[in-house]
Amino acid sequence: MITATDPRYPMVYRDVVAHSVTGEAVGIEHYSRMIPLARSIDERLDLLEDAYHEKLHLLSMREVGARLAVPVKTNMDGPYWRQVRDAFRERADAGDLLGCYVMQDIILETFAVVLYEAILPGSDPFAAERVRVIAGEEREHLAHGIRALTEEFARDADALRERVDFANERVARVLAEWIGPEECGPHCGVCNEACAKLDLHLLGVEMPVVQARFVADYGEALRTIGFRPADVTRWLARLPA
Amino acid sequence: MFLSEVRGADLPPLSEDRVAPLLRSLDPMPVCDFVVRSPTGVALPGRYIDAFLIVDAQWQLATAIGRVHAACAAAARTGARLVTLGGFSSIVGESARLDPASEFGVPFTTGNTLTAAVVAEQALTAAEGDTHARVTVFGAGGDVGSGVCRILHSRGLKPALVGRRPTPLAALAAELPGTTVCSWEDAAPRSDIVVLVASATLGAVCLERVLQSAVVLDAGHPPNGAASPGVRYARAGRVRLACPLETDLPAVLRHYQRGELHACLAEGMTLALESRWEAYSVGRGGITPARAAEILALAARHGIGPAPLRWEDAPLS
Repeated sequence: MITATDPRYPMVYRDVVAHSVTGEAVGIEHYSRMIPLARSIDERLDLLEDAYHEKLHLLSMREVGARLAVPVKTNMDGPYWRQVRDAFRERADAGDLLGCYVMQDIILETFAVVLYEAILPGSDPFAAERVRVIAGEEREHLAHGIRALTEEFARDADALRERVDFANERVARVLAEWIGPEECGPHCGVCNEACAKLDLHLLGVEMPVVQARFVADYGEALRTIGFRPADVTRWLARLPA
Repeated sequence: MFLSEVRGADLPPLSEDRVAPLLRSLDPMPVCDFVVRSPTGVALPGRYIDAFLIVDAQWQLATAIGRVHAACAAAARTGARLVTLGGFSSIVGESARLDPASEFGVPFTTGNTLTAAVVAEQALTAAEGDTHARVTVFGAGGDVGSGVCRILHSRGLKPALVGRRPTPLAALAAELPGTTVCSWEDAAPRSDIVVLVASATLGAVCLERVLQSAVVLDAGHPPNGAASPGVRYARAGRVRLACPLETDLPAVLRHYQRGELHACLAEGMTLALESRWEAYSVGRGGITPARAAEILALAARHGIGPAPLRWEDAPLS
């Protein structure tokens, strides 16, 4: 693993920053789309706060980029994020708040937690402090989502299962493929030049481990919500290896 | 691999070389639930937790121990009253002397006593009552292997003892008069019945020198040998259930004939059906003919007995 004094560090970490900032921007967009669908003032306030947290994360990672003196690329329209955002917008436009929660609070928050925690050991102290805080808050979002959906599961398990079916196909499969061990097929549009996955090992990040962590944590979230292990196994088996 | 079957026909099957790196990094997790029924009317729920042990050239014991340990922890979190190790996890648990009972408060059994009992019964079936049949046990120094040897010896057979570790083999030979420690090269061409119970990687035992008329019973998991031309080869160590296992993910049973299962798993089911929440099989070298007879009798009470031996789908009898 290289240290922050290694001349390669800023070159590798700029892609980390680009992915963080773009991912947080997507989070802001998603929570913003959910606000009009809120069923109560309290829920509206919670979603507003979630969006605000994502904004703080974005700004925090921008500071990391500034300190490293690297340009902070942001692109929400690359092939992977485009698919995810299209799926989310489809459900939001249909007024499906439950479906939005599954995609944002479970799948995307799991994705964020796993990636932030993966990058933490290889981060310089300035970045690590921020990454640690962000990862903790994303984990809180995930826990909040799990609690909320556990109640929904108790109310109508079949309705929630339909949402997971959709989100697994349209979001989880895309993200699992994106973090696969091989270089991305189409360029993601977020990495500054070549696929960042080729260099992440320099920061101690092993993509098979990251992918496995995503699969494990996503599955654990679904089982905690109340889904039977067999249902979860069927969903996980559909993810790309 | 059941994952490809579960995945759905609309997606291409997962190739082993792509899945293996992922599984190597995946924590043990619950895969499905099942219900085990007894003809006595008792029915109990169970949960299958996969430790994702990939036994190939890259496997390491320390990693495997960690995985089995984590699987036991996962079982404890689900509120299990008894943990049964199955397949290769049983070998790992036995060799590592895992003790989740003290750590997690849940008794566990390797399932080795019923496995040894069933394998011995299947070997005796293959011997057709001939106490002069020349039997070789490959892996005789292990827990299951030594148990099989003791049971066969108590029934009048004098197995040849083959294995990698001379010390336990010599101790077993001293314990069982008339048995001898042999090399595989010497034993293979002089055996009527070969029992494979070694902790080995897939297909590690060469069957080229085995007599054409010999019967090979492979209870290894993964299999120690492989069906070879001219060799009467059968998988052993499996039981038949009078009440087939019910599961919400039938694909996990795809390697079994309907109503059949590895005996190690069935030992835990037997104990649960008997409400004996105890670590029946732990450690190495404790399988006696008396214990084997006891667990066989308990299993029989719940419709669990040795599965018929098959090769090329033809019953031995």
